[in-house]
Amino acid sequence: MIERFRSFWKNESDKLEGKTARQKAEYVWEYYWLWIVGISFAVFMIIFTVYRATTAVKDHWFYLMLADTRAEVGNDTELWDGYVAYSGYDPAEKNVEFNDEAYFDYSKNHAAGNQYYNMFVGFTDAGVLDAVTMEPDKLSSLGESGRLMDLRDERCARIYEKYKDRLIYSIPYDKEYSTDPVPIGIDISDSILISRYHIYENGCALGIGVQSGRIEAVEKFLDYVCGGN
Amino acid sequence: MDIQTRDRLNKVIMYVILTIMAFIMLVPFAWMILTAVKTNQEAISVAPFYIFPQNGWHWENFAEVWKSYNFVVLYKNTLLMIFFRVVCACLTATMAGYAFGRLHFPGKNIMFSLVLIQMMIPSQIFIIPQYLMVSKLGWLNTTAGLVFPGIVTAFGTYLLKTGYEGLPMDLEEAAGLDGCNIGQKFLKIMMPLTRSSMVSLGIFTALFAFKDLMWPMIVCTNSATTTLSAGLAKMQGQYGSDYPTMMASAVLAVIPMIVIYVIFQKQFVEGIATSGGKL
Repeated sequence: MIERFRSFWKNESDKLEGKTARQKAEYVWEYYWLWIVGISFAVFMIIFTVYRATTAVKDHWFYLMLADTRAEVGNDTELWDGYVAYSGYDPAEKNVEFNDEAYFDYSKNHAAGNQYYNMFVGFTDAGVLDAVTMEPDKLSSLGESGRLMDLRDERCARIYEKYKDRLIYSIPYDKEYSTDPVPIGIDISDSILISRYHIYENGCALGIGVQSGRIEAVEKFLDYVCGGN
Repeated sequence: MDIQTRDRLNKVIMYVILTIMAFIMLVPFAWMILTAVKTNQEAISVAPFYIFPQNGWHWENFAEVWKSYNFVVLYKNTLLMIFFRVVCACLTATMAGYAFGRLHFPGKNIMFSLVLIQMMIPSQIFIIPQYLMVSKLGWLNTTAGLVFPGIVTAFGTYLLKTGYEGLPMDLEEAAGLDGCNIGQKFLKIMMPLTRSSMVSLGIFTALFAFKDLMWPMIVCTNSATTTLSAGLAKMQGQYGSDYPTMMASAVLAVIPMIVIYVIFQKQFVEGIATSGGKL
């Protein structure tokens, strides 16, 4: 292999002998442009991937979907700033994501074909989404899908205890799981989401993503919006 | 009625039907452009309904939209995504298509079946693993993240495989006799002959990338990295919608695709005919 490469190198060097620098560059480009482009691209991609993989903020402190609202309550808004300050999370270390660009209503034909709902499903099943807010009736309907956490789960024990007088129930489609109403959300209609930011007209409720592993961040959010901050 | 008169009558009827159909197809576009130059009151008025603006043509709506939303960034992000998706799709599909169409190796049929199965699975299924991969690579809010799902394409592989299978064996054999190895046969002889299939694939990839809404919304939460489709989705306000502004944005958003269509009109029509695809 090395011998073959040496022979190839000698062969090409012989061809370049006696040519001007411009002629050499033209020869190399003429015969090896594909290699040059390919290797340059590969080198760029390797450097880019290593750089992003080592420097980018990848994980989340908290991912909240503020569904079905036209209010400006996404990242870098007053609500986001307030929560970051209250929770003490450092956004430079991990992300705090407030996604206010999702518009779906599960009560209407199970949101079939709705891309925003598909996005919600993707984030929930991937364990990225921690909580979702929407109007109480819509959240109750969404709870039927089984993608909101049963608040009797031991992971939510503290939230359940703290907000047990505000629970929203839903009967899941999965009859093997339960045929009785299951608590899947918390009514937060008296929170600053309504009183200060007016994000919904008919009340507000919060549900926890069934795969969420950051219940503490959800609890902090509930405390923040319900604590009159 | 003689044959000539009957033919003429048939032709007139055909033209009338086609004109009506063309008119119906153009109505949404005309409505979009006309709404873009109306006032909001005219746009939402139902009785009386105004087809044309009554208080002058408000071309300044376009300037307002251009100033309010960062269209330069949206165009740049969209065009970069389209460019890289087209390049990646053509590159990977042509290599895979050649391998499946012309080479013989163990497990070829099983591997090609896996490619075909991928076409039968709804794209939503791939979103979770793709999102997790992009997230772990740290490619969220980057052009690379936008391009990621378009790097390989099952449809493109199938299209190019069909293209390579349609080429005569003699060409490759003649190249082999002249001393070409597999790489040279592929690069210098076979690949240039599948140009029309690659152009079709490029056009389809560009169109699908342009109208892709879900993926940009998932991977780009930052307005500096989002695309036109996702940017347009954000334009509805909390307390109402300014329809002329929205329509002006929509007009500005479709301009790149109209330009691409005008440039590649011939290949576009050929592409649909050769691939049997629909948009």
